[in-house]
Amino acid sequence: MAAERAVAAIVAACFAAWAGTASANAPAAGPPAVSKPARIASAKDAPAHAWHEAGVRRTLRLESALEADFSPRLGKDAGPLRPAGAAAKSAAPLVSPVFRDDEGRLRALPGGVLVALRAPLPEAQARMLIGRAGATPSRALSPTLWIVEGPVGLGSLELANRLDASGAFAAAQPNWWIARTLK
Amino acid sequence: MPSASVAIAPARSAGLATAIALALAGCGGGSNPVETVSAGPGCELSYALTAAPALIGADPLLPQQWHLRNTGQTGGTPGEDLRALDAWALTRGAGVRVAVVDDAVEVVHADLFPNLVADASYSYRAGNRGSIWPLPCTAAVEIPSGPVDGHGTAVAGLVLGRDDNALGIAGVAPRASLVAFDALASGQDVDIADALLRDGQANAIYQNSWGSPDDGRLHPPPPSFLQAIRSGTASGRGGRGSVYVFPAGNGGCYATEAGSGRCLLDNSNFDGFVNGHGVIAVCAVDDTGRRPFYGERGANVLVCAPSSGDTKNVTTTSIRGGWRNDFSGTSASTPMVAGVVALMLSTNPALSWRDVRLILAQTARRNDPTDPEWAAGPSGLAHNPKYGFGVVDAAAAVARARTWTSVGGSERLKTCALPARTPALEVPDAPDGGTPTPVLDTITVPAGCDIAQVEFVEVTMTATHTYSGDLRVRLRSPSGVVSELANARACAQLPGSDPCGTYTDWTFGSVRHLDEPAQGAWALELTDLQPRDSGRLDRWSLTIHGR
Repeated sequence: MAAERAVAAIVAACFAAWAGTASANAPAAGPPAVSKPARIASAKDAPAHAWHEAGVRRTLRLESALEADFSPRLGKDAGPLRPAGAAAKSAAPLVSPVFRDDEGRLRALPGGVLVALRAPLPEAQARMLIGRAGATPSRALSPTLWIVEGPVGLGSLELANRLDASGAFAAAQPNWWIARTLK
Repeated sequence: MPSASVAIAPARSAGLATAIALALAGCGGGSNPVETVSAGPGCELSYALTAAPALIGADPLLPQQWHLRNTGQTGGTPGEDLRALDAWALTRGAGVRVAVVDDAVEVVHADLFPNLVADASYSYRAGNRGSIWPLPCTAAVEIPSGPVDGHGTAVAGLVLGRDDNALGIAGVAPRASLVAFDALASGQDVDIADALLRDGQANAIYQNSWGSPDDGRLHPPPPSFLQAIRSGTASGRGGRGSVYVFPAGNGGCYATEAGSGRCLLDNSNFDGFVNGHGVIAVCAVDDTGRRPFYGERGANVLVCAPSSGDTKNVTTTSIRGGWRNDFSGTSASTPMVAGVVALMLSTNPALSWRDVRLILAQTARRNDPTDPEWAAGPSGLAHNPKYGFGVVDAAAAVARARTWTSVGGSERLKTCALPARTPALEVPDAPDGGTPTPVLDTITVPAGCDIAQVEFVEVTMTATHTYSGDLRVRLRSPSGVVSELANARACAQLPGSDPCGTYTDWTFGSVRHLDEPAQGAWALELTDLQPRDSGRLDRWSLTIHGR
């Protein structure tokens, strides 16, 4: 219990270090003060990864202090983020690196790739098309939107990029975890 | 599935239904437990379901619900409300299913359970995946905006809290049917897309009080989200289309300008979840009918509903079988519009998703009537970027819905997609102390586009700029109506990128040209309003939807 509290405190500190990642966004009484910078802050690290979204290349920077644990567990946790190295070794296959996108939001890869077909297809044909592209179809969300199997972590980013580049689909993106904002 | 009731006020019994009372496991609770349910293994909360009588009687907190009928009970302006009680003479929403997509919903709450559709909800939490109980999991942790896992329960009560059960509150559509999806608890793109499409033939309305951070930055939507909305509006409800309701945002003062202290305004058009045609973007007004400090503007905003102001909040259901009087923001106004839509669909189930939008716009009440930003186009419909077409009027919307002739759904929607222009226009940097110089480029909609009445306009724009927050972007229609698509602003720094985001194929939306004719010259105007940094308009295109 004490260990859990300690981890929670570290995670809370991590969250506090990055403004704008809290999931609740009720009207704030004391907003922060900002100004237009004299010049844009330079990146300490170049973008480490990229994917395509609606034809636009988007980049990510690794947040090496964090990891995301997608092992099936519930309880007091508000989400999957942990300090890097906090997850149990047995959970390693279900742990994703954490990234920050160009909008400043944290992202992680819980597994799976979303594939948009160019046109609606009967299920059997859609499964065949996805299989021919070297992926394993999971299920259809709509006649043109499928989820295909992909591992937790970078493997699903690489799979999404490969499927997107294959030309067999209208688009393919990783199934991202992102902390949404409750209004 | 039984209905719920807990006797807390003098009331007469409606007889012993096969009923359920809520109790927290380990806290005593009701007698004769029928079943214990929870949000899954590891959760601190579980709920003992027990038999209890269903009651009939006035809702004790109804007089506090000023958003339903504002008599001035909070010191606000009488009449600044939804006019919901007037609509109840015609319908209370029976027969319409509303899916609440949120963090969790205490569907066993005694003020919600009577409206719950049996076995139709779904949990996306890892340890509870596939369960029909998307319940709050975490106990006793408070965050500034309320209890953790408590958001969806507050939202659901505003839509359809049960009326006349001698308990708590009433929702806007108190006899509508509840379905709940906790897709926000997982936070995964696939779960959100799944929730927005789940049981689309049976669920009429998808209520969402979430979105992107309100921080002045451009937040593109996941493509899977856009596809879900497109698919749901095209094929939901037998082709009449699912109705998606989202909050315009709370970024009306997301930061203050260092030095001046002036509020920096986010724009609802910077959130890709809420600026598309398939989504009803909802703003908020306080109990005097004016924009609260957090109110976010946008050409995409369709209508407002009441919510919190500086000090007054909204009363609704809360977790652990309770009620709260502190709910706020566009999270609160959005479910009120979902409730009004439920009333409309209850009285006329044949309405398409487009009909719903048109009726809401045409019947909205012009609040804050002396505000200078109200502007009407040739149709006479006035829009205000702070208020959309005004505050929803439930009674007027229901009355209009009863006699409305449908314009059809997606299948009858006309779309004119004009070829993109690549003007590569340099946008002059704002001079220190001088007057900025705008640049203009025009796309002419030809006679071949037979849209006589515009319903929605999309502008997709690529502008290279070293600080995109410098740019104001406006669209002027052939009729002379102006949509402000982006305002200048400052954003908190991020390493290595433009803090406000990049305009790379960014799509803005506007409802402001409703019922204008499409043909003629549409002009895009870019103005750099802040010194330093410069850029150019590389490319833009125009897509018009209407009839």
